[in-house]
Amino acid sequence: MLKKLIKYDLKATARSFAPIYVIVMALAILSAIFERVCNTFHSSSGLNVLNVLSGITLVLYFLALFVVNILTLVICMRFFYDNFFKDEGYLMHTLPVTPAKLIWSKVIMSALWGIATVAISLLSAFIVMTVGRGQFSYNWFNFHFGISHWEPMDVGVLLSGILTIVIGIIFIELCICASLCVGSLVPKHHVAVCIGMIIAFCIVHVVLAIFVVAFMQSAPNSNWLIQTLQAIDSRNDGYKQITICGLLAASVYMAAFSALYFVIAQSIMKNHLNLE
Amino acid sequence: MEPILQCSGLCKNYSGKEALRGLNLTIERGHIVGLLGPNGSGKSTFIKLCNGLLTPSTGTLTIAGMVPGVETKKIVSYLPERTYLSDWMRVDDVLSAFEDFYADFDKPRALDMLQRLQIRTSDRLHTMSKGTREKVQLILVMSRRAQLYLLDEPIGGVDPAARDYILNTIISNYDKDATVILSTHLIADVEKILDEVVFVSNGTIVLHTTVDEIREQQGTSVDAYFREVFKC
Repeated sequence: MLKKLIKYDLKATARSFAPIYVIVMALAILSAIFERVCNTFHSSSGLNVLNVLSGITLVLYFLALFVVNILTLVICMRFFYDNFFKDEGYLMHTLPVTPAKLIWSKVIMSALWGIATVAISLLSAFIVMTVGRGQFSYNWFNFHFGISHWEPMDVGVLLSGILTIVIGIIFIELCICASLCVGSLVPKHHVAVCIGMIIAFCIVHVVLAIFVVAFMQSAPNSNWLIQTLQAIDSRNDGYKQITICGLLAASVYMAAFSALYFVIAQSIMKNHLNLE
Repeated sequence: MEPILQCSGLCKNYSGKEALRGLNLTIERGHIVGLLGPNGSGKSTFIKLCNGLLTPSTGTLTIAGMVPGVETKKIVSYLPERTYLSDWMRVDDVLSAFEDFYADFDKPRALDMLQRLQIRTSDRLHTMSKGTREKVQLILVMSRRAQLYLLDEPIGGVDPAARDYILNTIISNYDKDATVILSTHLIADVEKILDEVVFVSNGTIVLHTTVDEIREQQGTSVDAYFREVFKC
């Protein structure tokens, strides 16, 4: 049933995402073409039509890149709200599925779009940076990322980074979902309460982060955590191991709060649903 | 056999206002029941509670002996008073969705009803009139082989010709063991298909009887009796 829910959610949201992805990719390709043409005709210096067009498309591309990342969050948030607490909620909440599956379908759908947006952003940036300058080659990639002499620890950093990004996206989606559910409890001003809850949750995380930083700075050298970190740091590739530890710690932190947000959202949808 | 619907001391409060006040009701299987009452009497609230869209403030409610949840949603077919289908969808998409999610959805029956109304399955919902969209929604709901149909104001916003179509669809598409509960305040239109009536006023049940009893004992139609009971 979860697969079916995800399938329908993806189909419903694809209509919103497809055009903005097409716009980003079109601007990236256009920008790359203008850049290439400018380089081919040696007109990269001085003010001429090609340079102006190249500059405009590049600015538009960066603007689209910024917008697509913001819109991903906005579209998912709106879909959550409309699908659960507006007219479509009458269908969603009368389907023979548990609230947990309803929540997971939205979270997975949003995570997939989040990953797609990151992928589109990277791919379009790659097109602008390499294709436009005629540098699309393995050597360019190797020069910038040094992939031919990657060590296992580098792969570890990459994988833990990817894991943190995925858990981070789920964490954000569940935070929004929990905020929307709390907002649905009040009879009026649902959206305002929801935004207020998101801000409140953010404040909680900022306060916790301040506590962690303050603890790390004030903890005595005899503390086991400080000693362990110092021991790791003194090794070869110590900074990479510290990075992996940091990313994994962030993943665990976000996973714990994701579980909390999930419990809040599920509990409200199961026991306090009020589709007035 | 267990009654299809039972509630005891059912209360629902919204922001300090009592929408339902200690409802006690038992509905047996195989009847068409009219949930009748003026606007704001608590009819929609009761139907939403039966569907799990609201949670009771106090009291108990069971559908076929089960508290509203995943299992009851498998046997209850619900028509809300508003359109819950996404505008961008084609009729085809909606049919596939119902077929995917409801094991009791009878797609050939739905296609047959759509064909009779000359509604093309390739049409998007946003291209249809409000009345046609409501008919599509009713066809979807009545194409399920459900045990309980909960229809909230099914004839509320449509013209008299469409009302007849909707009522015919209801009476010709439910199994004899199934129960239909329909809420409305347009009593004259629905009374010909009803077996039982429940009069609701200010969140309480003021009468629960059969249509025949009203006719025999009061010597009047349900519509006339309703007007008498709820005279302003």
